[in-house]
Amino acid sequence: MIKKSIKKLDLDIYEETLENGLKIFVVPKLDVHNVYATFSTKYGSKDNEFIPINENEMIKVPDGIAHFLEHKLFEQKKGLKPFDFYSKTGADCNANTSYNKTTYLFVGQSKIKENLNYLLDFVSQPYFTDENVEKEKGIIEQEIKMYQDDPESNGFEKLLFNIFNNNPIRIPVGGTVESIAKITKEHLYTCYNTFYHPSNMFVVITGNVNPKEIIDAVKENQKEKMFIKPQKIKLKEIKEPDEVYKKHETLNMNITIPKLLVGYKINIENLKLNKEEIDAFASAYLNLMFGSISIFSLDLIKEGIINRELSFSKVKTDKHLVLIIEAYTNKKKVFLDKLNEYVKSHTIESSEFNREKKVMLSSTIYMSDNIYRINSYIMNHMVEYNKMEYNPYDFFKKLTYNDFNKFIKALSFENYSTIYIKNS
Amino acid sequence: MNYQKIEKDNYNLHIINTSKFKTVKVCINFKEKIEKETITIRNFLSFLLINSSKKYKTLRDIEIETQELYNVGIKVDPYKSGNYHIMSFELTHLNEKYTEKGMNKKSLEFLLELIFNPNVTKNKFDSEMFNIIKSNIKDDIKSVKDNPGRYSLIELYSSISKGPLSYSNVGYLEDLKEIDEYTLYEYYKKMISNDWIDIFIIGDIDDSLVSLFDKYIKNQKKSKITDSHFLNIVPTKYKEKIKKVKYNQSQLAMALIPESLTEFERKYVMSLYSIILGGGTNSKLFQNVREKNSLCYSIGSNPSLISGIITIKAGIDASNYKKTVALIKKEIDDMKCNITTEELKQAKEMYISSCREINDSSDSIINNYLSFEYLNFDLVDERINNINKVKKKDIYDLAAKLVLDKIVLLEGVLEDD
Repeated sequence: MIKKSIKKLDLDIYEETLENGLKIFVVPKLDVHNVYATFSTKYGSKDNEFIPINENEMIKVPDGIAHFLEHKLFEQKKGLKPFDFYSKTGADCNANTSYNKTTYLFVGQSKIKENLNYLLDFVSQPYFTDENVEKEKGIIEQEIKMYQDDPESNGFEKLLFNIFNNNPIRIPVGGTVESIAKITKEHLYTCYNTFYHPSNMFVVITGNVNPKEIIDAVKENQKEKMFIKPQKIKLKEIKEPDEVYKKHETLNMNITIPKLLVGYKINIENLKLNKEEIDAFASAYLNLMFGSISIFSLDLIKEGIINRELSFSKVKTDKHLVLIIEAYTNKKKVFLDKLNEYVKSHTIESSEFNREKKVMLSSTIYMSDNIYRINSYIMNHMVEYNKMEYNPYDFFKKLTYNDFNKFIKALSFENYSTIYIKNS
Repeated sequence: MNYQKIEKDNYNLHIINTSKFKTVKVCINFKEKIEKETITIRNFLSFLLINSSKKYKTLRDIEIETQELYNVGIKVDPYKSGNYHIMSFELTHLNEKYTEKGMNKKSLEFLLELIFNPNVTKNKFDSEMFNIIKSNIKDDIKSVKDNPGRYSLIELYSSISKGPLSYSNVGYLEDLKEIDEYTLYEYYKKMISNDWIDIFIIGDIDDSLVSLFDKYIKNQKKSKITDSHFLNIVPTKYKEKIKKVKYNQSQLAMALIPESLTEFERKYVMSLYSIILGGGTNSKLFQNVREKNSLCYSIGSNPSLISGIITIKAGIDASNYKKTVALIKKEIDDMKCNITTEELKQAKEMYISSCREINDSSDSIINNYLSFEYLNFDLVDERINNINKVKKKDIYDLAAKLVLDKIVLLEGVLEDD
């Protein structure tokens, strides 16, 4: 067990890697009642072409299978099912899937060791049958339709689909009604055996716990389980061009004020910055360029080109950074022209960057008061960067205006795709 | 944690001193009897005030100041609370121990400037931000039915009552039309002097900070408000409303309305009833409608303690409407005579966990004192003590009084698009 202090945040982080490869992180916070425990695999919707463990041939599995698998791990052959178990101990249990991670979790106040043992157990005891796989299709079909009726998520999913040509990040996490219809229990076992090995997984526990006791409990639990030797997972190599798949698309939906989404696809292969720095600079850039602090947004509102402030987000792959700007507008052509001109010409002053840095530094202190955000911070580092950053405060402190400009200079806005959502 | 209520001549101050958080949070509530005609103007005023002031004229000025003050959070939440309308202005900032000395005072001054020193000249608000907010609210009103789940609740509430329950949260176009820079300022003066003001402040703070309030809140006189927040809603005639909408999925919303409620039922039994029926993944609705019959992804029930109504919501396929309603009705019937000792015990544990959790965040601590102050609800320890007194018979008695009064289906007609 290694202990490290997180500087400036009054927190310690305890860490251990077991023989089977499982990584454990514990951040005790004794002034709250809850314990938040997450058990994650670095496996998500994008991992749909790979060589199954102990085999030689590359296979492609139906879209949406990582999410389907997440639902189905809640089936148990014998004993209590997770929802029943956690209701009995007074804890909340849930799970979620993204394009690069699947997480199982509980939040509880008592019987923490029992709850943790059960979490580690139920995730490692798959029980898939033809019947229980069929039964789940009706439930997930409703989940997919729920997201399709939501202009926010539907627009975002369609934009990613049109920006990327080959990267499976373009497929919605839940797949489609058609793709999930093809899923069988054999597919589920293949994916499970390949991606749910402890060496591809990690546990993060934050809240009111004794770190030594809790790490010992995980060790004890894992000792009883048999795992084959860790193997390297072979995913299909993705060849993704810089051009977008489709430049424009219009969606007809139930929406009163039309909305335009613009996604700039930017190659970041030659950028001499590490991934964390790219993420930090990209967030700062979006905020300074398009947030309420920018004159751009306010001017467009005053001119009647957009209806309200812009919103923005980003998506990153190994090769590309996608900057997404969303506007409520009836004048999409005028808006798009202004936006294209603005991103190519506008510069950011060092005073603006330094104020934004103050925000980044403060955000780490805000985070340290919240066991859910601390937990997410660790999970995010494990999945996105495959390493921990123990001093987030210093990390932000060291960012320079010079490097920020290096980042901005590397941005090219030639390749973009738009989605226009309007009422049919 | 130490709670102190100070009754001033013109406002109530609630101070919660605790060193548990690295932040300080302030919540200033303006409360007035709800009227359908003033919801729009109160929303307008709320958003205008936090987007511009005499000292910070534009949104950019405000944003720059929030950054300078180490990322302070400012927000406003105008909301309906039964028979009242509340404009809640909130400030969250890092305690100066983590930033630099003087920041606690500067942050609080920032919020107070926005509320009490508006961008007014010659009895009118400045037009630039006024016009932006007006257009935003117009959009909000027009797009209120864009979200399927929210749309189904609007339909449900309007079928139950013509009173405050059914009033729009965002406002009305006909009222918006009447608002100009002058009438808004007239209303501002009225609100500042007539609304009941409660201020909540939580964090590791010293007394000198709260003296700032007196500097800003000067001439307002305190009006006496005695009416209860609770709405008196009773079952009327069973009604089913079906509307066709352009969605993939259909939205089902149902209302259970009690013939009467005792205070204990409203405070405790209703919550446990709703947890057992549809409060989580182990509830009767989730287990039977979703897990056993695969009819939906989301299903659940929610108690509104202010109106006494329990709403049930689910996203389903239109073709399964009758089957789903029949299954839900069966579970509602089960609540009258067939809950297990285990179900009751688990519901209590869930309730107690969420009570303990209240003390883990400054938001929920403030909310807890808010419902103590406004609704006469109990504080954490008493809640835990009382919930343990609820017996099966109490749930059955409540179940016998609950009438399934209204059903709304927004029927999705985009099937197999």
